[in-house]
Amino acid sequence: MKSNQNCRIIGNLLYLTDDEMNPDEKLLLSRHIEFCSSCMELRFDFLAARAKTVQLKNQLPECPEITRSVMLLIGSDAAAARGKAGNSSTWAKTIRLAQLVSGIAATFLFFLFLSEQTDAVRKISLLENRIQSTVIPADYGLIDRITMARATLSDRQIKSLAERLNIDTSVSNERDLLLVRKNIENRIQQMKKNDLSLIGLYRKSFLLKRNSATIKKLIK
Amino acid sequence: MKTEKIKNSSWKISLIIGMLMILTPSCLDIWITTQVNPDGSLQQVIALQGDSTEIADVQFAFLKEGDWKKEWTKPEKDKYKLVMTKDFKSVADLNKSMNPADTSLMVVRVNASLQKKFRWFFTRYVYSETVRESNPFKSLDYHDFLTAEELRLIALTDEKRKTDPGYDSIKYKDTEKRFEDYVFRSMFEDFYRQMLSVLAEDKSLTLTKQEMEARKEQIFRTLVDSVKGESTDDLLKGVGLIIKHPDIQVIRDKYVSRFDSFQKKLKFHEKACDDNYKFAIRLPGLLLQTNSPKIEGSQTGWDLTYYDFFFKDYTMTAESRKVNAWAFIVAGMVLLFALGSLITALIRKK
Repeated sequence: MKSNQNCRIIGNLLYLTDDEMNPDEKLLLSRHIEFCSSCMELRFDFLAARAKTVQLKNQLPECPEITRSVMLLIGSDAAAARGKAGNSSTWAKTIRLAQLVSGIAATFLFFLFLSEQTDAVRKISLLENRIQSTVIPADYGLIDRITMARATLSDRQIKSLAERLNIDTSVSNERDLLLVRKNIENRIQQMKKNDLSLIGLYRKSFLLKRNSATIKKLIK
Repeated sequence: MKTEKIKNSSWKISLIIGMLMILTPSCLDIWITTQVNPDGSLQQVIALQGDSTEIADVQFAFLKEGDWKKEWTKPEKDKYKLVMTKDFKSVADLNKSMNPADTSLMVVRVNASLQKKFRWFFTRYVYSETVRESNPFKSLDYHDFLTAEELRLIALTDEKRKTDPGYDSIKYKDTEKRFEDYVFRSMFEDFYRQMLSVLAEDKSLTLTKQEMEARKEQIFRTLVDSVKGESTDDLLKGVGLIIKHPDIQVIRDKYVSRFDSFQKKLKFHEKACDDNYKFAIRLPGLLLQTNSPKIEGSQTGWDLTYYDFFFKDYTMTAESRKVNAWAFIVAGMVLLFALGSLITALIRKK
């Protein structure tokens, strides 16, 4: 038991040469192996193997090419490993940058569109205030129609509009229908002059000029 | 107004015009429609309707150009209509036709300009046409004769003037007189200055400027009230009735051609003053802004008389915008990518 404990204590000293140990370690080791045959055996095996290795080293010719090749191999493996790690981080950075740029671009484009639309609606409103009504060409695209806020009025909206203007919509023929439409337009023009805030809703009614089908639905 | 005022004057020019007004309806209707294309090229369609001789004599430079497509029709008895069409690659080309570089040409001049502004989602078109001041006789300052309000009333047609809130029939009679006075005095001043330049150049002529100046007002009154002819010789003969000097005959014999530019101006004024000018501009896309009194969709229109641009330039402007569809597609893709990135980041965080 005691010898096992001592074996553990001197453990790695068995594999050191004399010049690799300090005097105290040398004394400790020599005292142990006097009485411990297994450690002595290990020590002698180690020293023999080491001597042989050194001998072989001295006998083998110098091979710088092999050394260089091996070193290169070691070096390139390390570089490849570093590169692989580097590439994946560059790609991730690019994606992050693209996301940031697209986010900024999307925000900028949104506000740009908003400012263009606001300016266009303001100008069209001023134009419609000055000039009675405009004819909508058939080739206006969706964006232009939205800009002019000329959505088709529903039956409910027309009825509501006519009620607010106290206009009778219970007509039965085409001529009366046109008179109703003209009546609504005239009243709207008058109201626009008095109250510009009504423009948003009443501008839609200009479509009445072009969309008699909507009014015809009111005919019972 | 203009017809009546001209008829009342004894100046030969106005008498001839007045007679022509009575005998034949000689005013031309001129429609000038300019279509601007999205790529900046333009197409102009000009229609002239009236008497065939009047059409041939219209005071625009383009009539002499041979590369206009022309079509004659006869919409009414004794009335002809000539429709001319031409495509222009750019506004600069258009200006060569409508505002020729040769400034000695006495024609109605229209100068156009076009600005295309790219604003990503839309392209804005700002187009203007300026009818240049057409008064050929600028020797006198019209501000000394007429106020701005009076100028505005003069430019209106009879119908519009009578319903104008600023119109007073009694005051307007005085305005008319002063307007006539300005036009005739301007014409006379031009003629008179040409006479003085001849006298100054030819040292053999002994008639002095002082002698002329002393009788200037008398000469003017004689030419306006008594002279029936409009040719240079007739006018010089009228001067001779007041200035009884042999040099007047010398000028009649040798220097009639010196008054050619005066005659050109006179002819231009006679021909152009009674025509009706209707301009229309059609821009691509949605019309946003214009100073036109009437619009139909994206076409704007102006009905002008000669006196709308007699005293100063008259500018017609319009602005429109056209959708750039590809810009919306690109913006949509950017937005989708941005949204996708945002959603992915949110999912990863969870």
